[in-house]
Amino acid sequence: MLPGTVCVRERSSMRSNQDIEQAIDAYGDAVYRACFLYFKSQPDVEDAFQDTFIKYSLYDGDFKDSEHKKAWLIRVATNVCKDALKASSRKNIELDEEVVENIESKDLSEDQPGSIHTQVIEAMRALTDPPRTPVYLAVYEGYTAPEISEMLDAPVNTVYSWISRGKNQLKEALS
Amino acid sequence: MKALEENIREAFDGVSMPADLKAKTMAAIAQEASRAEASKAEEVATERPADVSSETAKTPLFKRRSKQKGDTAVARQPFLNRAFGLAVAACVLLAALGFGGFSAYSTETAFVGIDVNPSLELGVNRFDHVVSAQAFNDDGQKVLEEVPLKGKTYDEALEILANDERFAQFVNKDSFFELNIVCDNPDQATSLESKSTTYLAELPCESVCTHATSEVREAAHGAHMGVGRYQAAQTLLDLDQGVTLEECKHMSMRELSNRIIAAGGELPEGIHHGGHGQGYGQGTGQGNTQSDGQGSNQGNGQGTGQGNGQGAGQGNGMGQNNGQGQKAHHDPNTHHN
Repeated sequence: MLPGTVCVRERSSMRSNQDIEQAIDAYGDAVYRACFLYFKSQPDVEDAFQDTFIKYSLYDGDFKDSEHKKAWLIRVATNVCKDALKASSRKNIELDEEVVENIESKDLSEDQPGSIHTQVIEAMRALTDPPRTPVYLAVYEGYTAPEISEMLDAPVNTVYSWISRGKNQLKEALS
Repeated sequence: MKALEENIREAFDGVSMPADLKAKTMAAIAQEASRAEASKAEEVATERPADVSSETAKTPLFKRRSKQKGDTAVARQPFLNRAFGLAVAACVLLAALGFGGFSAYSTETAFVGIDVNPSLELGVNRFDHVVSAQAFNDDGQKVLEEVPLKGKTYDEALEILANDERFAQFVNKDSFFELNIVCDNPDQATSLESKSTTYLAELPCESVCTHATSEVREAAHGAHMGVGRYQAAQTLLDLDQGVTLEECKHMSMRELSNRIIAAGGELPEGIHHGGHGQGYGQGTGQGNTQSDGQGSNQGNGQGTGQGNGQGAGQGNGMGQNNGQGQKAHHDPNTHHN
């Protein structure tokens, strides 16, 4: 291969089990929460989680450091979830208890009474995406707007707008 | 009342991976590894199912009578043997078809190259499913990492690309998008072209669907380029001796196209102009002049216009009247002019 050229196929051999297990130990909770943000159904969350680490096992590239790997996994997890939602809407298959309505049209008072934490999670799930993922990455994972911009391949100013809009929508929904 | 951010953090702090999910995930990955290994297995074909004829011709040794205890077992024996034999044959045949079928599924019968600035290629099987994907530059690699196309039907893959924000950033009104098809089967090539042109027509930029041979594809891959970019590079190299193939690799398709035109070359036929691009048209104008009699003339004009809406832009020209009227001569003894 000539230097500087890139020709990528899925790797012919998978990452070692040790590598994969270490990744799950280190970043499994982060990936799980990213999937949990999209699906209310436990099987759907677990499927998305497994798909994410299958992709990791097949990924050919190298990671600069642990933060790079974590960001990569979270990004792949959100993409897996989005694609699953798109596929289900195309096939008119309803994922169990999936909630994708725009928060402005969702009446949270119709929800079963629950803790504020349940309400917060439901309100996050009810956001459109964006701003759902940018808000989650900023508020919970602590990424800066420039970092989120790089993860989501979006302009920094757009990320700022998403985060601001998402927080306002959440405040309205939870007030 | 706690701040929103604090509530969000506390809410997700309570969310963690179930204890058994790691084991389930490792099992799923092991399954995927097995599937990958199976795809490399050689095609197993069986000529015929296992011989089951030996059990079918048996007849009971005694005359059948009304059902009594014991009769059923004796009368059933040949049927059970035949059913078992057929079941074995079915399993063997299904296994053979499974391996053969899987091999057919995973074999590419067409390759669709996408060159914009991302340069990538999708391998499509006879069922129009995307079974492989490779990238030829960093942007192409990024697309494949973030936009899952493998395993989708070709229609689904195009729809995913059309709706994906991450891919959309590479396709704007100033881009030039070349989609190239390499396929020896004319029916599949036509089908893929039809689906591709429908997709291209919705893009905001100029685009074209081209075809190439396997030989050109091999040459392109030898140069580590997508077919569209390689063909454009070859055109430019023929026109401009000062350009190198290596330089062409790093040009966007728009840059390559502009340089080809600047060097006096031509782009492939059948270019779709973006939905909001500019169009150039010619208009005809009519002018009327009157003289003593009745006269009319026509003027020819040229106009420039802008295209709006979907598909190719249309020009609306304003013609300028350059004609002159001629006096009509009425002679009752002759035909009118």
